[in-house]
Amino acid sequence: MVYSAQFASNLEYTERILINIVRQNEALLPSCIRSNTYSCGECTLAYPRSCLILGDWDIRSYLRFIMDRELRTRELIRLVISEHGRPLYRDIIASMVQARDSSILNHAIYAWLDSCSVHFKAFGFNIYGLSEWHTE
Amino acid sequence: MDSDSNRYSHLNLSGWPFRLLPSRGNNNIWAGRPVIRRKIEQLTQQMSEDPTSSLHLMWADFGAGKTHSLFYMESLAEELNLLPVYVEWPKKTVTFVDVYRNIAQYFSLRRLTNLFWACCERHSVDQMIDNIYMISPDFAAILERLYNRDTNPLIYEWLRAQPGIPRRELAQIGVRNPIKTSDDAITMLTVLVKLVAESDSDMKMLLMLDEFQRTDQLSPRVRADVNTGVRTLLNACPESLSVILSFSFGKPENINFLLTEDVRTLADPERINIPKMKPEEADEFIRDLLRQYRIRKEDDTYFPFTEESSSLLLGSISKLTPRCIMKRFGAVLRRANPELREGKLSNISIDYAKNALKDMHIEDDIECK
Repeated sequence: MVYSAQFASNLEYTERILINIVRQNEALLPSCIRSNTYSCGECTLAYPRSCLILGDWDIRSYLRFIMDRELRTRELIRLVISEHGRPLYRDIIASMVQARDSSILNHAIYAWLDSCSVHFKAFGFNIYGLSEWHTE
Repeated sequence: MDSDSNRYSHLNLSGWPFRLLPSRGNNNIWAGRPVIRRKIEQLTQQMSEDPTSSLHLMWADFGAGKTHSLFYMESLAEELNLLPVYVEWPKKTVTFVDVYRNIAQYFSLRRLTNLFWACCERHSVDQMIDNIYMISPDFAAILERLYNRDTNPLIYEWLRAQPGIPRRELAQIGVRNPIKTSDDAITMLTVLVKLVAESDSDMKMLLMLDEFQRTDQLSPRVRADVNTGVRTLLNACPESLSVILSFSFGKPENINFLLTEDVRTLADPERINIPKMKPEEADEFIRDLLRQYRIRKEDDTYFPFTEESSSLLLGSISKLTPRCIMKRFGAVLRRANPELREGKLSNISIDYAKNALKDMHIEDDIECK
């Protein structure tokens, strides 16, 4: 299937919105991305008539792939920080993550650290640790 | 120690064995873990025998005994031709000068003066001043003043790189420049290493930089600067200096992310790793620790505990580090001590230990539960 330039632009926009959502709180993702159910009436992402996902399995699969990749990134960030056992500067976190998966870029890691307060907390300027450490 | 012997004689102990914080008062006490002890002793001996400079890495799990190991190494070094200088990595590092400031605190005016006098006994004063002048004219001027018993407090402020000393005040002590840059700091350290080397035959400085893990919270620029500082210092002192970087975090291999490649390649490939203990090692640790404090060498190696209560207490600790063991055993002994002293208890039985643990809220002890 060939998609128009306008469609590609809309898709990129949708992708970015979903990435922002998953980085803040994955529970806020639309049900069609989180699971195999559709709750279009409650969806805050788009109206059914303009929704890119509805009716297009390829688009849905692609966006789910992006979300899975983002969640894997988050889990990898959590893992390296947890293994280290103390808050550390963000560039070291990025190096540790990239030592395990070199395809993950710095900006994606920093965006996770900055926006996902559920999992990550700042302990100083550009120093991050797990959010559960903050309460100890 | 005599008053301690009296105070704990009912426990058959010459002192309180369960200390959470390392102290130099008991730095010659090593309990259990014979392999690690041997490695520390071997490394200290090697550094003593090898005149060339070296860099060594020591990792320990949280609470596993890193600082106590360094204090133990310090006690060994003092018996050899090593001058141990134990320093904590600064909590806030902007440049390598901050590291130098912490090192400079070890060298009081008296210590520095005695060091210089020792050098002058082996070489002439003029020769020493000339040699130091080649490295740092300012430091040479200061040493000449110290030799002549000048006690101007500005001398110490300059040596400790205090910021903000006006130049006209520096001129009073014959110094032209403050210590401001990382290069200045390395120059100062180079002189100190030279003084140590010349103070006695084959003398070497053993610089132990503890808490190196604090560099994991430094910006890349500052981290690069301190790495360059370490590298440049070793380049400037190809002999008479051994540096130990000790650090605590969850995974020892993560040190590779804190060191630049040129520092990593300088480090001795054989690292000292101090992980948490296995159960049998923890049991040996307790027995050995109590044995070293025994007044009367009796058969009961666990007294005032029993083998059963000791085993119970060790089993209640999920992370067997010296710190956690000290905490748990110390808490139970503190509770039982008055009753043991009054003879109401003959020992800390397994039932007593069980009740003590129940009252202790060990589920709140996140570090050791």
